[in-house]
Amino acid sequence: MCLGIACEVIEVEDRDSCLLRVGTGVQRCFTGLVDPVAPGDWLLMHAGFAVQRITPQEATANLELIRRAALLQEDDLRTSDADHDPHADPEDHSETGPAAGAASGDSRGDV
Amino acid sequence: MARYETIRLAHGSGGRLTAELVRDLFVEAFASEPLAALTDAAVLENPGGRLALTTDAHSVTPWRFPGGDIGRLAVAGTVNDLAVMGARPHYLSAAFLLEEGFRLDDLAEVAASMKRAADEADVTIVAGDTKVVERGKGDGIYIATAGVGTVPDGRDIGPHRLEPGGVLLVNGTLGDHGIAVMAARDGLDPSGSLRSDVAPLTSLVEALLAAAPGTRFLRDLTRGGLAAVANEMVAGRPFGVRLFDDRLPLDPGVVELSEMLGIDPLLAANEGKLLAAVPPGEADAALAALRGHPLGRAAAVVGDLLVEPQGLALVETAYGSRRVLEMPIEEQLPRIC
Amino acid sequence: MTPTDESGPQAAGSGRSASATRPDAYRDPVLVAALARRIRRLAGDLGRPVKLMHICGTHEHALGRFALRDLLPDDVQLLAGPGCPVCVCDGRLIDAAVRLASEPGVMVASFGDMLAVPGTLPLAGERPGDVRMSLLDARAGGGEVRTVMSVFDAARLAAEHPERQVAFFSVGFETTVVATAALLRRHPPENLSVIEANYYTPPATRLLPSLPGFQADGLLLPGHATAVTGTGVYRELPRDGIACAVAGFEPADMLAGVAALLEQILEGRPRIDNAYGRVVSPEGNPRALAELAEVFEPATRRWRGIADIPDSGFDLRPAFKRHSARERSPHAFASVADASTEHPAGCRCAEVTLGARTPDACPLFGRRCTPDNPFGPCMVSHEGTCRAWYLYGTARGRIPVRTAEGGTGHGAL
Repeated sequence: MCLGIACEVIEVEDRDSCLLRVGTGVQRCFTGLVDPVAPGDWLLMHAGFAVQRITPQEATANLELIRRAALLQEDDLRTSDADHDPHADPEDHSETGPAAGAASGDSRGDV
Repeated sequence: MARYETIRLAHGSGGRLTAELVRDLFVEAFASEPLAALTDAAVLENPGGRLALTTDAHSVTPWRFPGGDIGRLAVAGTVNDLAVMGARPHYLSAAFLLEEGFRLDDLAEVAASMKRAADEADVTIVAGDTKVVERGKGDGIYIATAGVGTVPDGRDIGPHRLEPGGVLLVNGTLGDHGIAVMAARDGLDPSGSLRSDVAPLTSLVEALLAAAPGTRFLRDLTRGGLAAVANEMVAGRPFGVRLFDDRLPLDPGVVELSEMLGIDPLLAANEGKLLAAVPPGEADAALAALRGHPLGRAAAVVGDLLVEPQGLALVETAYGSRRVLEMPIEEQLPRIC
Repeated sequence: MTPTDESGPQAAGSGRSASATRPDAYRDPVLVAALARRIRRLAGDLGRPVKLMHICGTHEHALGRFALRDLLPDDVQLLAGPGCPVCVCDGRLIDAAVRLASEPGVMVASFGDMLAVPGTLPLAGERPGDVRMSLLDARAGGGEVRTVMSVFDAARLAAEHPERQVAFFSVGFETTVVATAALLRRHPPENLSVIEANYYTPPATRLLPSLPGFQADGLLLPGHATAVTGTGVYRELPRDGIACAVAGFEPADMLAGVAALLEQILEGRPRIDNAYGRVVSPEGNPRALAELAEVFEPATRRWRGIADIPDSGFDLRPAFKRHSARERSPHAFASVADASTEHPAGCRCAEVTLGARTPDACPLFGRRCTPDNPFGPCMVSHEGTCRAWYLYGTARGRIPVRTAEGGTGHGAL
């Protein structure tokens, strides 16, 4: 129910405390409720403490699962390019959103 | 003056201490001939053109924050109010309301900062006043300013020129001042990496107008941020504003801290940013002119004016979904969970 | 919103180059569009309207900020259920905080979000109508109230002010209470006390299906609360036929959660899916749960305007009771409010909180109740459903646009 942000550990202060990179700044984070951390680890921070560690393996697995849920193919990823401009003037003039878009087949944004 | 470290009530009484303060601190710092004459009013050359006049009062806590101070804020804010009217600013006045106990070396720092900002903006501080209130009756220091500029013939910039199709640009990252001050106040940025963007925009505006003379509208983004200006632009008008979520320039530090605080950077204050509405054919030139200026390196096209919906400011995401951008209504309180 | 580098604004990441640990990967427009398509197909296959519910104020914020409901087909409705700890906080606890703040020698340390929420103590004369006192009112009246971002900040305040009693207003759900427990186990300053105002949601969530009018076929489970508790605490819901999916807070996370729910409903196989595996595991955070159990015990709590729910709150155990603000200052906790008077007359926060009424179905919404003139906590709190709906214009639904060139809509839709 709570705002949590994923941040990288830049310095370990002691067993219960570390410094996180938050944007361009630094925030202190309580780490007593997770296993000992090391610089480079990613933590989910909420209300000043680390709730969980985010490991690269679990993150990769999570992203893969979501991509599979989207039935996203490698082809779809390749066609995502720097030219993709979601705000360009549309070729389809649907006003009613996804339902109409699906019914009419390929709308421009259906990349 | 060397006898006192802090402001006394007598410094505002009009007697010897006042005279010393004005002469040895303000006149010394502002280095302006009209001011040095110490007459009741400054009589000035009129460069010609229509006159533009603005006034502003400044209270900010803390008075010194990363990236600036109340002095710089006062000068930049006043100058920018003139510049966004298409006026060339010339003269400023500054009235100081000081709380008994305010440190004199802090006041000297404020004055020096004002002079630097005035030089950047190519304006002169020509008139001033000082009053002192009892300890506990003020917030350290308040500054009230007025600024006079002239609008060259042929310039016609204002809300009456807004129309659908106009392209919207900003000259850089949004919400810097508000987030930086809030972070400094609450001790949330120990590394001091967030800085206010407070700056006078005179030469930036001149560069923009030279490259995009068809510029229709300018507004400086202050309290209430881009959200306030976007809503003011469309209130009661037959068009709407669309902002593109993924094109809004944002400093990564500001993004993270604003997520932590739960405060939308679009609603946070700026003190060195403006919004410009230009005809579509001049958008590229406008962007190039802004990016070519030191205060516009992160400038971007951020949106456009729509035929519909009317009277509404909205944000369009990278996914094509749209949300309303409401007028900021009250003090932003940092959230938790 | 996308952070900017020196050379100008970045285009939204493609996901291939963004690391899976960073939020950007879960904001990828290609991924989001693909998920939206998948949801449309699942809904089409289902062939009937379906109601889903989330129970997290931060989920509602993500929906509003990215206008994600625009991407859902019309017959998939995602309701906001009880997800705001500020909105359900017993008004009498706010009254206690207000009273403590006004006591000489006592400083109340509170999350900023609680400051403007009215309790039940009437505030006469300041503003028209049935106005109740908030911590802001207490501060305006001379009380000492400080904003903190965490219980650790409150402890630092207590250490810096040995001459004061510092009462930390410990608000929040199960995600937040574990920090209070952790702090109390680690030699907290003696002058620090805790106003026990944390709530535990699973008992309330388990009651939802029994409420009259409840129609949700699926529940999106809160990603950070389950990071602490694990997912087993919700095991009864699929047994009652409710599809469940844990979802994170980025656009792709939420849409993946919705897709998982629709798949379960289509298959007729309700279970608990976890679409937020990078943060959530079935067992949660055992260390946090152990420390929580050591410091706190389950207690009955009044859900504001709703009911007293057993085991839905946390009381300090005897070994830690000396840090209870209620123990130190029992007089501040006396109150006469009963559940029916907890909200001002006409406020429908209780129904909105339960997901029984959408904000725009409240006659006061946007008219007599706005963020600058709020009636109840749902409009005051950043986690409140009404506030999110007001700020993001959610009640308008999809907003069509017409540009000067005569174009309409938007490419990605």
